[in-house]
Amino acid sequence: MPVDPDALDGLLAGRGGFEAAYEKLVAAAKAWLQTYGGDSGGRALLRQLEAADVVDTAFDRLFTEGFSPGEDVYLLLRRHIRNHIRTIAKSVKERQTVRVDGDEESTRIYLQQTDPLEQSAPERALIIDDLEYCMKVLFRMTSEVKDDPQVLALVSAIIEGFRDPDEICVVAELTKPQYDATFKRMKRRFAQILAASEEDKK
Amino acid sequence: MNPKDKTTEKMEAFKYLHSASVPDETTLDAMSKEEVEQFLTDTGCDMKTLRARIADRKKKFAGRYALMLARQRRLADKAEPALEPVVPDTKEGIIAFFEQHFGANLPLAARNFKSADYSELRRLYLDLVGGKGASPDAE
Repeated sequence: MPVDPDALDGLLAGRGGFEAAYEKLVAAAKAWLQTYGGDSGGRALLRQLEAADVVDTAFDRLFTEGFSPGEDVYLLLRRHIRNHIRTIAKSVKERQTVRVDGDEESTRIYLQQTDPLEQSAPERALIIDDLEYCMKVLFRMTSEVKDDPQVLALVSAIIEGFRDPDEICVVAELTKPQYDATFKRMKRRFAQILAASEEDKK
Repeated sequence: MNPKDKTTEKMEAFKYLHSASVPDETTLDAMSKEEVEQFLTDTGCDMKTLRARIADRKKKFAGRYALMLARQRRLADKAEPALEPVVPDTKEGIIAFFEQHFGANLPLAARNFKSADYSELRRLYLDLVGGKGASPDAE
């Protein structure tokens, strides 16, 4: 059976070929793992996953289930990745049984289940499961960016509650071009600190 | 208006920073290859290791893709029906076919074909030529 090594470049031509598409899918998986990860139940399992492994699982599913001619393979893969991560995040705690003994004639069994997704996934992960984690990341952000006073001033303004760029420029003493450049640096530093904090949790 | 407590303020700041730094699907779609690689590097990805993995997966998945296509072809071949003969849609057409193809050598069963109606002629045609609609005892 002939195997065309470049067949996958054709399949993902709309996304720049196989390599570019794979990198983008790994980035998507990383973003979702960071968003849905938490401390309890299935969310804790997400912290153990590698983004590239999740992408490989999506490809396995793609070639097992097949797809129709003309279907956007990249979007299908992305959907497989997202569904896989959400399924793991939604997995409930194990049932607990509690026997009630006493003088009564019957024994009752209590089943306990939690549904960690009553709120939207990011809200739940950030507010309930990860309060301590969020505070820790924020503390790292303010202490590790002291080498970049503009980023520190920007983060401090955000912590104080400012969101409007014009107001932040006044509070942080930045010009608009400085604000734009500083905001980009801030995003990168935050992503680095977030990733480093995720590694610490593994 | 009650002022927010410090914890709430900090949580809101965290959420804001998180949504700004972690790209959503729309943002990712718009990112260039270089921007994607920058994000991957910022989040702890070793690009050299990733590229080696991609090269390996390209070969592995090319094989899986070929297997998938071969399996789909086999299923399609099984499902494709045998071609049916085109039956003339008039009595005269069928009679002309018989006279042209059989002449004086018309099979015994069809000797009185000119007096048959169209549906009988159609069944006779299929019996002689083959296909769906032929009589159950047709050869």
